[in-house]
Amino acid sequence: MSYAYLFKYIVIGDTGVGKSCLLLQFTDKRFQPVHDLTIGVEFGARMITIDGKQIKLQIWDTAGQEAFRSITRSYYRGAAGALLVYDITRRETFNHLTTWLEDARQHSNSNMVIMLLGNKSDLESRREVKKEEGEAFAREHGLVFMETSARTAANVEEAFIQTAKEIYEKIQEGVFDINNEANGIKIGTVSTPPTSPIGSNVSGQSSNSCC
Amino acid sequence: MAESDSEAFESADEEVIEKKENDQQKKIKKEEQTQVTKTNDEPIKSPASDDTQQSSWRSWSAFGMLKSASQNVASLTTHVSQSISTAIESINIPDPEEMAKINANNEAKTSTEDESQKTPNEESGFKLNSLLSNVSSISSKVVSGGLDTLEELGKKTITIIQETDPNIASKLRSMNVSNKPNLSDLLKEAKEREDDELSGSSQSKDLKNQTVSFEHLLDEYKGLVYLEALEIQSNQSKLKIEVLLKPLTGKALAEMQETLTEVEELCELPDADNFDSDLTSITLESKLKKAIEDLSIEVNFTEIINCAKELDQWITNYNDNDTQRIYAKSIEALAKLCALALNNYQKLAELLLSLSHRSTADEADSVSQLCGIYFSLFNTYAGNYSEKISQINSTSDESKKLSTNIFLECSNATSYVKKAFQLFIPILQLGAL
Repeated sequence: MSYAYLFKYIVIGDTGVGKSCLLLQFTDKRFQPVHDLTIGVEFGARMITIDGKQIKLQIWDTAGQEAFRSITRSYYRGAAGALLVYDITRRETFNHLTTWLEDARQHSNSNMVIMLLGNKSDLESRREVKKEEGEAFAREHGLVFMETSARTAANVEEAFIQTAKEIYEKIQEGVFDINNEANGIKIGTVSTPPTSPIGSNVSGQSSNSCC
Repeated sequence: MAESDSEAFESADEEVIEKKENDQQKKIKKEEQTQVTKTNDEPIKSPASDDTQQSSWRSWSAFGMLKSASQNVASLTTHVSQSISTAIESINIPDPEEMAKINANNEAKTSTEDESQKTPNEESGFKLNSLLSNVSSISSKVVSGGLDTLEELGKKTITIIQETDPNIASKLRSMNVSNKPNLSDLLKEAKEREDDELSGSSQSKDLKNQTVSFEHLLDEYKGLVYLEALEIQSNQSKLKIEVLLKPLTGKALAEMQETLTEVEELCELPDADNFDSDLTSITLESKLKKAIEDLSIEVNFTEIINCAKELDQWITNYNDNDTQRIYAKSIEALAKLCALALNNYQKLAELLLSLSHRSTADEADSVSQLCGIYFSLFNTYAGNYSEKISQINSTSDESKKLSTNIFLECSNATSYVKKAFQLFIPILQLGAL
């Protein structure tokens, strides 16, 4: 399970917009219609491949409830990517985006890649926010935008992977200082998994050279 | 993987120190032509760390001296490890067969198991003293190499001890307790060295690979990221306390500081050796519930209880005689229980911090009780698996070695919970202000 990079993501947005469901769809490829309210933060992880490199996404899925706001804010720092989620069937979740975005920008590093997601796109009949509105908001604030459905898995994979690609490009361009872990990027360890015979060889040699 | 994750735990200052150490390690590695392969994945040195190198490797002539000093340290390290190996060999682990008999005849298996754990600790603690005096006598010989060298030597010793075993370095970093390896680290290193010597046998190779994997499994079960989140809240609480203290002077400041000290005193860490090892998944549930009954919040313990239930079932139903399989399962169990214990602490911290009204005395009591329960839990399962192994084969060295390793990883799991417990203190302190 070795990886070239680890990217830390945060998922933010109002309560009930489907943050935990998006994560579950991405990590476990399943949908859970009734989900417990998230307390503080929950974690998910998945390995993806970009440009032939193994990248581990470590996702911090935060609680949307106001009561946890000051707690979850402290998790923003040190994230390389953020998924800002609203619910296309509830306009107020869209209206709160500005607050979320300000919060995120203020408490994270300036290079963090932010992806705006309008979730529940399968519920077309109950739509309250037009796709164009999401696009306009994203354009105005320099975000990448997608409409997703955690239920049907539409665009879920794409949202997480597109974010990773943007981060990866920023690394290639030298925008991210990968040695600073506050940027939410860690370089994979050289050590091979414990079961690999190569792993024991390497440690054997290093101890020999020292004796 | 564990290494890089664990690095995130450190506060900014320690990160800087860590980076310096890393760079020094790298330098030594490079110059001594060790055969550790470098890959592109290795961190690129930052400009800041280059400065450090310049100051610590003042000139080439100094380097020449250092190089020989390093070699001295290296041989010294060998000596230390050999002494530890001897220490390990001379530990009297009760004969597993005897243990099994006692268990069959006597209900009081608890005390026996306690002994089996205490014995290594006490004995090896004693051996360590003589070992330390050994180290100092060697050091005095090195003094002839020059005082400057010795000074550098002291700084490098720990680096080189760590270098001989990359795993120990990562553990130290994650524990972040101090830069001195603790007893379990030394024992583990010695254990691996012993395995190296026996590398002719494939069994011991397997064993070695298994030994490495506790941290790996803990990471797989998200234990390290739970700890990271807890550390973030802990640091955040520390900052908030500082902000609250800043405008205060005189009496108000003294009172506030007294409160902080009082809370800290409430949080006395339970002694890991004084815990029962007779928890079952059933008693676990009631104990956990009892530990938090005075708090105004609900903590969900379902996962850790279910995990214990599954482990109980596995131990009861496993009828094969594959001791290696039991050993692997035991490490997996300890890593999983440890991760879930860390998760409980992380969730508890978030819940308490979200409350508008806090009750510090009750909180401190709960956090301490939980700590004791987790210690018992690890002891219990370590005991269960080691007993299972001795039932199958109580005489072979291999079995004894496996049991020793199980208890080593048990103390490793305990260390992680201790770390979480310490991180909790500022979170409780903040509630009292």
